[in-house]
Amino acid sequence: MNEERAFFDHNGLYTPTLLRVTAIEDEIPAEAVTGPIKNFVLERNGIDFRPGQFAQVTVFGAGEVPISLSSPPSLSDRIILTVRAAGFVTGALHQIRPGDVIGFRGPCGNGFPIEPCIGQDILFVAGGIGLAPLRGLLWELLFRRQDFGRILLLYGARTPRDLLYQYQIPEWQEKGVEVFQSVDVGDGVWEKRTETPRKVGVVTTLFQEIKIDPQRTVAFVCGPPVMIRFALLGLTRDLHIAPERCFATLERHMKCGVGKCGHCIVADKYVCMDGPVFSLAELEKMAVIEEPW
Amino acid sequence: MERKAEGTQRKETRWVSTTDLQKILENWAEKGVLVAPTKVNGEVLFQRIRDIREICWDEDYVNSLVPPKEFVLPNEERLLSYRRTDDQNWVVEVCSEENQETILFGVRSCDVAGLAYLDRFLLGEMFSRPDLADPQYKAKREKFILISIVCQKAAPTCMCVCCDGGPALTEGFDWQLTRLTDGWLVEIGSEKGEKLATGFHYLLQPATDEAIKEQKERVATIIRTFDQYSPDERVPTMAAGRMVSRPLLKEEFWSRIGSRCVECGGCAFICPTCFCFNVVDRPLSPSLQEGDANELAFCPLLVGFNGKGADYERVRYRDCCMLQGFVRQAGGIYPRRTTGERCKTRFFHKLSWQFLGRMNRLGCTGCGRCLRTCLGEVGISRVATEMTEALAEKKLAPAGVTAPKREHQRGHPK
Repeated sequence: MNEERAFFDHNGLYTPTLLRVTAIEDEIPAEAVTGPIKNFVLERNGIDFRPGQFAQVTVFGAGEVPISLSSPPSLSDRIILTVRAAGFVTGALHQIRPGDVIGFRGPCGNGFPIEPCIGQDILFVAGGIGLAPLRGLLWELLFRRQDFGRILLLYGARTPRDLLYQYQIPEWQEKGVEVFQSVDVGDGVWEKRTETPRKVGVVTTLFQEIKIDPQRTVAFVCGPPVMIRFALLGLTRDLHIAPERCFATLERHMKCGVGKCGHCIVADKYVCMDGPVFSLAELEKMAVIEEPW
Repeated sequence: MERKAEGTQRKETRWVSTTDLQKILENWAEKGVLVAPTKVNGEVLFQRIRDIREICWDEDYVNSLVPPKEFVLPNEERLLSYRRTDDQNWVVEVCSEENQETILFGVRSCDVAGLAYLDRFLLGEMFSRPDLADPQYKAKREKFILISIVCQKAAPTCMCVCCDGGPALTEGFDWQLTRLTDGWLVEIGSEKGEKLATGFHYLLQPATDEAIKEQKERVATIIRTFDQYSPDERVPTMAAGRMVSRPLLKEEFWSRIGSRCVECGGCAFICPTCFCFNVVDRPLSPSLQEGDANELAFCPLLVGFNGKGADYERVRYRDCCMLQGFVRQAGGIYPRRTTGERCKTRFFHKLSWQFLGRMNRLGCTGCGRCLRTCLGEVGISRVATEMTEALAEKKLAPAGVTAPKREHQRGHPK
């Protein structure tokens, strides 16, 4: 908390820090349904953050957009952003080359609650690029694996080609993560492979595959709005997890990231300052006024 | 800010004659910046003035066409600029301007309350994060000295009496002036106000008990006779607050309100409590400044995105939650697609108990500008009244039915 304050004090609220992009990796090819997704590896430059926080990233000459941080804070030498070319600024970001400089403002937002999860089982439910913010948390938990019970990851995407981070899954399994995957539409080959339990269907169909103890499980959800909605419904109705134990991270296009511009208001909450991570208990209250998903 | 320390203590008071008040303003206009209401083509606008004869005095107007938030949160403001130094590097320059101490004279109570609302939000108090205060706003706001004048008559669109926005306030101002039969009563509301009073001590006199009594009577009179000036417009805050906070209004209600909105954004641009802004990066090149390629200003990629030496600026400008693209996101997430949903968000922010709790006051100060600006009868008192009518009717009119038009003067109240 103190480091964040110092960071903004030092730089001014709206002034980005310049960070060099050290490497760019292709994650998902342009031909996939979700379009091109790339990983941008940035120098860390002493910036401290928590999993689940986001940053306002400037592509010079194009503009500024909020991007979640998909690497764990314990990885001390870099910050990784997983970005889909979805619009004007992210499209321009995909054009930059390694060695170029981008602007970084943050970290912003509250981040995932980690300390209350110690000793608990953790269930991740991710859809598409929603795995990116959860990956930072997943790695953070794996760095201190002994503090937590079971770790389960249910991951769904549109097609096998759209699944992120497939190369890291063996490593996660090795460290005791139970991985279940699903795709909306299979390609005939993917279904036949057996490295991870897999299904064709939306991610919530994976709920039938797992057995958990709802009393000691904390769930983290991220994905497209409709997926968040049904995943949270399934977690409480089918898996009987209490709303206070379910957390989802919301997406809005913040222009400032620091509770000034008003673009991320949902009901009486500002996603950039009160969120982006909310418990289902909070989301239910917001949903009475305005559906947050 | 200073308001907090003041609390509910009794305000210090002074008395000043009209000639001495003019001397204070004259003196300030010479050595500092004086912003005061002026008449421009029949409309009252706040402007920087150098000759106090330009001032439009309080008896000639009820309120200005636009609120003075213009001076602390301008319509368009540069946040920073950057330029490419070589193939891969950029230099960012932060814009900081020297702000001179400025007296904002003749501001009305509803706008003082509006500025207090902006302070609470933009200075980070709502989130208990004063460290995240907006630097541009703070720099300007700290230099502003508010001298408000208590209204002694209301315009037909005024409704400050139901929104805790006037006609006289107990906090938020630096000086609050009330015109008396002879001279003015000065109430000092902050440290800044005290400093100003010390600076001009030779022109101020202690307020007599009669002057204080007369001021109280005058404020009581305007509240008592408010209905004569403004008979129609009220915000039934408790009932409307209940309707939006629970929420008890069905979708049809909002689609009916939304069907009257033409998405001009006027309500937010002239609202003393609205602060939302958008941010864009755009190129700064001589040709653009000459105005021959304005259409390129919002297409940065077309102008030298890969070119060397291109300069860009990042500006913020006013935005409005009633406009279509306000919450649209790349990638297909698009909440609040209809005007009805956007109306619901706007009035929730203005009137709900949830935001009342977070902001310590309603998001409406009762200035009535949205009534004059709105082309589609979506002004706050109209919508709030319809909310209570919906409660009374227990059923809602079908979508698309417009509310009965009320005869109403759109021009500026004289």
